[in-house]
Order: sequence, then structure tokens, then C-alpha cells
Amino acid sequence: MVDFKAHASSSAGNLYTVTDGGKTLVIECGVRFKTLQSALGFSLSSVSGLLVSHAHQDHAACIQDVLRASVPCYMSEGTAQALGVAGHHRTHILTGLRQVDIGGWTVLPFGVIHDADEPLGFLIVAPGGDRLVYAVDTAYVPYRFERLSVIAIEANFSLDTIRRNVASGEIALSHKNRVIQNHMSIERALDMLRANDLSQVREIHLLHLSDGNSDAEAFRRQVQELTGKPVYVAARQ
Amino acid sequence: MRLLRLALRNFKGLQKFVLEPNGADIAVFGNNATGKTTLADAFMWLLFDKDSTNRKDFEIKTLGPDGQPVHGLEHEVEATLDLEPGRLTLRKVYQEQWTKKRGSAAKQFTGHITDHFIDGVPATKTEFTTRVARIADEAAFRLLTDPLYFNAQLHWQKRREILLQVCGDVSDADVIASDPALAGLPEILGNKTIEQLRKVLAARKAEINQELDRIPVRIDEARRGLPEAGGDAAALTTRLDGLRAQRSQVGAERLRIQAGGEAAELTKRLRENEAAALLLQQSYRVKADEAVRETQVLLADEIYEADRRARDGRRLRDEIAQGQKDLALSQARTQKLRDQWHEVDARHLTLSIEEVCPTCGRPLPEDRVREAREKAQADFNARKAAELEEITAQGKRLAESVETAQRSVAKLEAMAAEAERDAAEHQAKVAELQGKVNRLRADAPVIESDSEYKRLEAERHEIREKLAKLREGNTEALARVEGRVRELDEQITAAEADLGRISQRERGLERIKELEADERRLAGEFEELERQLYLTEQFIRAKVSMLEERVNGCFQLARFKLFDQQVNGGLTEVCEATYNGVPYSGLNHGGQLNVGLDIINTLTEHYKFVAPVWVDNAESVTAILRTRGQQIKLVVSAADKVLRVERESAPIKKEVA
Repeated sequence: MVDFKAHASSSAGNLYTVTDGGKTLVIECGVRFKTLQSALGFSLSSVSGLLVSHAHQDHAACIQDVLRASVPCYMSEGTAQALGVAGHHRTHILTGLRQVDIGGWTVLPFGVIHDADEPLGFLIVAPGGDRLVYAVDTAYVPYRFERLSVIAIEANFSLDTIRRNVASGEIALSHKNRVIQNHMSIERALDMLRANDLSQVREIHLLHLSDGNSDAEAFRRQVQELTGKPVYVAARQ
Repeated sequence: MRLLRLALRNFKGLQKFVLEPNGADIAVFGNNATGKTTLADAFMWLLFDKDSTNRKDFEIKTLGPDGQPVHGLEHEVEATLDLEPGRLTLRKVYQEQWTKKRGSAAKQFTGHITDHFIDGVPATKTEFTTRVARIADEAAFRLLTDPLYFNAQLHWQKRREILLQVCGDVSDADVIASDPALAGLPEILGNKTIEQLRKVLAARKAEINQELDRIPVRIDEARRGLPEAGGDAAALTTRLDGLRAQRSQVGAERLRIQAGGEAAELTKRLRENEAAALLLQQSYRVKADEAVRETQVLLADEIYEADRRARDGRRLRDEIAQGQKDLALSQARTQKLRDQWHEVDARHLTLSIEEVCPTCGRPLPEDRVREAREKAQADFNARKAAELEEITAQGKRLAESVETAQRSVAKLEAMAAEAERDAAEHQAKVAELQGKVNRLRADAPVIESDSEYKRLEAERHEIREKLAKLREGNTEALARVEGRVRELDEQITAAEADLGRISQRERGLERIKELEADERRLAGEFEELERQLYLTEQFIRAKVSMLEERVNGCFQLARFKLFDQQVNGGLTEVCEATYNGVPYSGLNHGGQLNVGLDIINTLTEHYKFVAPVWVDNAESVTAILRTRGQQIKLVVSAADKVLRVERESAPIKKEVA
């Protein structure tokens, strides 16, 4: 049984782990290295690999340290270039829709919609066969998936809230537009859930909630109401 | 211990002063330079030969207005102490020693002497210090009498040591036991201290770091050094084996061609053929010879006979010629004899007879001269006849031999003719036989028509042609084989190069794998070191909090900072008192005094010894902390031009002691 865990999930830093029968895959490293080390109980050397969705600092802050710790790191060419790690021998380049094997994990990267160079989401098949989709920092999820066990997706903001915030002058219109174009609203997340077959889904994780434009409890309830599945909202840190 | 009385004489400018607190807390007021601190200095000097700030060399003597010491005075301090139980009076007198030397009118300064008295009884310096030491040890004395001493005079390590001694240290085991997360630490620690372990870890981390820095460079180098090579090594090896086998075959073929193989074979066959033909020719010649042999024998005989008779004829002719030559000589001699005869015959006697006697010269008688004449004629005639007879005899004999010779020649003529006739006959026979031999020879079977000979000849012809062709074709074949050899060699070289590149690439990849494994291992070790360091930090933090908690619990006002957090996350030991969060060095005098008194209180408990506390500059403190020890406050007071003493608590009753 695959175990998804959000250690940090916000624009301040993202770190997730997926574990299955002792093997661990890390997703994102947008935290201080020491934080990452203690989150993993100083067992980074036994990690199968690190997946980085895109080059933004809140997703890749300590990439150099992770590479140095001898962990194989997987990312798109655009991400690798932007992070300046393209030539590193532990850097593995992912290409959209071309699946790779990472120490028993099968990872199928797919392109997402974000203002970074070549951002990716991941369909992860654990050694035991569990299927997990991970998509964060994307305006929407452009693919449909089958036989998912775990869904970990962004629910950054709600359109109503963000509109209200713009109206009240709390956030600038340009900021709103940027958020809407690059992040997934709870409404889009619900659309995504509607579009997929959820019959085998065991749990749904809502990630990367914005501080000002989201309502964790409301989001959770909305998703529960739509899916009837356990829903977890990732803590900020 | 309490101070009952302190009397000064000529001590640091105080000519005579008696302080009598009688065991009570007192305050001494006085303007600056009225001698307040001198009281503390005097007390310390009496006990330890030092002043109140722990200096050994300070001026005891009273100075005159010119700043020079006034000579010839006795400098004396006497104190009476209540030792609870018992009282003790100590007195020390310090004076110059002037000695009058022999032959000198004036005394001379020869140094200082100090006289010691215990309870009025003179004592040696040793007895005096031993007595003082029995009261308390100097360090404790200082700690307990001077509120500034602990914080201002002691080294921080010494302070820390005293604090840990007084409040009790926290053992590492206690710290480890306090937090389950630290349970793994003793194993890592072994028999090292935390600090040693941290040093070891830091050193090892630095080492690994260096290695980790180098590995990506090496990997990169190895990557760049990888030759471009593709293909399957096993397939290539198989192909190479095949090529090598072919190459060895072709090589053998080339060798065979070079060694002449087929040509040699043909040449051998040609020699055999020629030998067979020769044998055949010989057999034919033998057969032909058999056919003519008889005739040849006859022919040989005839040739021989012909020759012999011819030779006979020639010899006889020679003899004939010789005979005729002799005959001619004899005929010539015959002629000569005939001529000789005629000559002799023709000869006449010419007489010259003496007619006068030779002796007497008289003519001789005629008769006698005639007779002489006749007789001379007769003699002459006789000799003539004899000579002619001789010549005729010789002639007759010669004629006889000529005749014999003529007969012999005739006979030889006949014999020669016969021999010549014989020779001619044999010669004719020779010619006839020769003709017969020739005919026989001509009729003998010819080898050219022999079938075997024909076959041999045809074969010889064929071999010669083949050889010629072979010699021509050999170069072609060799060239062809050489070409093949070169081609194979090139293919082999190429395949070997490919294989080399593949194996080099494999080695390179292997090397990269090794490096990556090294890196992974080192990263793991590094992480483990970081985990251990993290543990030690946790340990130190736990220890810090436990220790500070324990130490601070010992004091009323003072709080101690025992560790300093470093930028790198490590901790260093320090020891600084704070009061209301302000470090000692930043406190005003009042704060410093009260912190010092707080410490004295705790130390008094610890040393189980109470001493009078000298509080200098007491005016700077509004609320002086109470101490168990007697307080002697020294207060600056501009109004007091001379020292004024105020008693603050009831004096002790002598009877109590």
C-alpha cells in the first residue's frame, strides 16, 4: 500500500514522500536541506529517487544538496537547465509521456500548465502496483487517469475567494490573473476528479493551498461531498 | 567568622584607626580617599599579604606630601575575629630595618621585616599562615569576602568549575536518559566525549566532503573519456573469431603458394617423365644394337684385316724402296769399280833410274841400268795386274750382290702386290658390311613411334605447359590471396578496435558505476555523520537546558549562561552571570554587587563557612542583598571628611561564643 505524505506544502516550500514497502520516492525538495534530512530521518541515502516538478525555489531549493547526497534526481530538461544541474551525473532527464523506472517505481511524467520551463506532473506506479497521480502548480490537469489509488493534486484557491479578495483590494488583479493562469482552483480540482474513474481511489490529498485565497475545511468538504473518499489537506509545513 | 575589631596603625595613610563592628553589620562612610578601601586592604593584608584587589605588591607605607614614604614607622594591622566558636587576634607589624654597621656613624636601611603575633604572642610567618589557613582557604576567603571577586577576577573556566562543583554537574548519562531520542548516542560515543566525537565527526565530514567534491569531476572526466562505441561485444567476438579463423586459413594458403606447392609437384612429375623417356630410349637403342651386332663383328674383323693387309703392303713397299735404294748404290759402286779398273789399266810406268852411282857419281853399268829398268817395269806391271785383279774381284762380288738384291726386290714386289690385293678385297668386304649395318640400322624400330614414348612426350608437353601457366598464374593467385589477407587483416583490426572501444567503454561505464557507488556510499556515510552530529547537538541542547536549570536553581538573582550558540549550530562552553537577562559585564555596579552577593550566599552554603563581606561602593546600591556573612559596607559620602561608622545590626553577644 502506497503511503503519500506531505511534509511541506505551500509556496514557502514543498516536500512530499511516497513510500511503499520500505522504498521511498521523494517529490520536490523546496525546503532547507536539514529539514529534508530530518523529515526523512537521515535516511536520504536509501531513497530511490527525487522527482522535481519544475524549477521554482519552493519546489527545488536544496536540489544541489540532494544531488550531493547521491540521490538520483529526475526532472525535465527545462527544469534541469533552469536549476543549473543539467550536467550532473545524478540528474536524469524526464521527457513527457515517456515512462521511466526508478528503483522499482514506474514514473510516467506528463506536461502541466505553469509559468516555468517544462513543468511536469507525475503518474507514479508503486512497486506493489498502486497508482498515484501527483499534479501541483498547474492551471489544470490535462490528462485522464485509470485505476488510481491515490490522488495528490493542488487546490490552490477558490475562484469566489480570489474574486472577493480582488474586489476588496487585498490582492492585485495582476496577481489574481497570474494565480489563475498557473495554479489549480478547487473548482478545477473538482472537475479533474469528476473526469476520472475514482472507483479504486483510496485517498485524495489536496496540496499547496494558498494562504489567502483558500479555505481548507470548505475544500475538504467539497471534495468529500463529490467523491465520498477520505480527503486530506496538506499542512503548510 | 565575624570581624569584632580591626585596628590600623600607619597603614596606607591611616595613622591610627580602630573599627569595632563587634560582629555586627556596619556601614563605613567617608569621602573619597578617606581610607574606606584601606580598611578592606588592611584586612586582606593581615590575612594574605595582599590588598583587596588581590595584589601582592602594594604600598603599605604612609606617604608624605612629597609622595615619598615616611621612614622609620611601624605599620601595623590587628584584627580580632569571632570564629564561632572562639576568638582569635592576629597582628602583623611591618617596619623598616636600619642597621648601624661597624665603623659607620649612621644607620643604614637594610630592608623590611614583618613581625607576626597570634593572640599577642609572637609567631613565625609559617605559624601565622598556618593558623590563617586553618580558618579557611585563601581562595574561598576571597570568594566569600569580595562580591566582585567571582565575576570580575576569576577566569570563566574557573567560574564554571566552581559552579558545577557547587550546583552539581549533569552527567552525560543523565542527559541521555532524559530524552529517548538520545538512546543511540552511547553506542556512537564509545569512550569518546561529546566534544571529541563532534571533532571526529566534523573531521570525517570534511574528508568525505572533499571526496564528494572530487567524485562528480571524476565521473565527468570518465564520461568524457568514453569512446563512441556500439554493438554487441559477444557478436563482435564471434565475428572476430570467424575472421581470425579465415585469416589463418588464407595465411596457410598463401604460405603454400609461396612455397610453390603445385609447381613443385609438377616439376617432380616432369623429372619422372624425363627419366622414363630416357629409359625407354635406352631400351630402344639396346634392341637396335642387338640386331646389327653380328654384322658389326664381321665388319670389325674385315676392318681389321683390311687394315692389317694395307699395313703389310705399305711395309713391303717400304722394304722395296730400301732394296732399290741399296741396288742403286751397288750399281753406282760397280760403275766406280769399272772406272777404277780403267784408270788402273791406263796407268803407265814413268822411270827415273839412276845411271850414276849416287855414292861415287860414276855412270853405272848399262846392263845394270837396263836390268834395273826391266826389273822396275816388271814390278810395275805386277802391281798393276794385282790391282786390276782386285778391282775385277770386287766387281764380281758386287755384281753378285746386285743380282741378289734384284732378286730380293722382285720377290718383295710380288709380296707387296699380294698384300695390296688382299687389303683391297677386305676393304670391299668392309664396305659391303658397313652397308649391311646401315641397312640393318635403318630397318630397326624407331622410338618415335612407340606409344609409351608418345604418351610420355605428350605428358611432358602438358606438364611443361601447366608449369608455364602455373608460373604465370601463381602471381595472380598470390596477389589474390594477399589481397584477401589484407582485407581480413583490416577487418580484424577494425573489429579489434571496435571490441577495444566497446571494452574500453565498458570499463569506463564500470568505472562510472564504481564512482557512483562510492559516491552513494560516501553520501550515506555523510548522512549518518550528519545524523550523529544532529544527535550530539540534541544532546548538548538537552545538557545545556538541564545544566542551566540546575545551576540557576542554586541562585536567587543570578542566572548563568553556560553555553554559547555558534553560527554553525554548535555550542561552546562559556560561563557568564546574568541578571534580569543582562550579562554581568553590562550590569551597573549595583547589579554587579547584588549578583556577587547572591553568589556569595550560595557559595557560603557550599563551603559551609561564613565570612565578613566587604561591600565597597555600597552607596551605588539601593537594596543590598542580605548575606549570611557579616556585611561591612564602604559608602562614599562627601559629607564625611573623616571616616564615620554606623552600626546596622545588633552586635553579637560575647557570651554567645
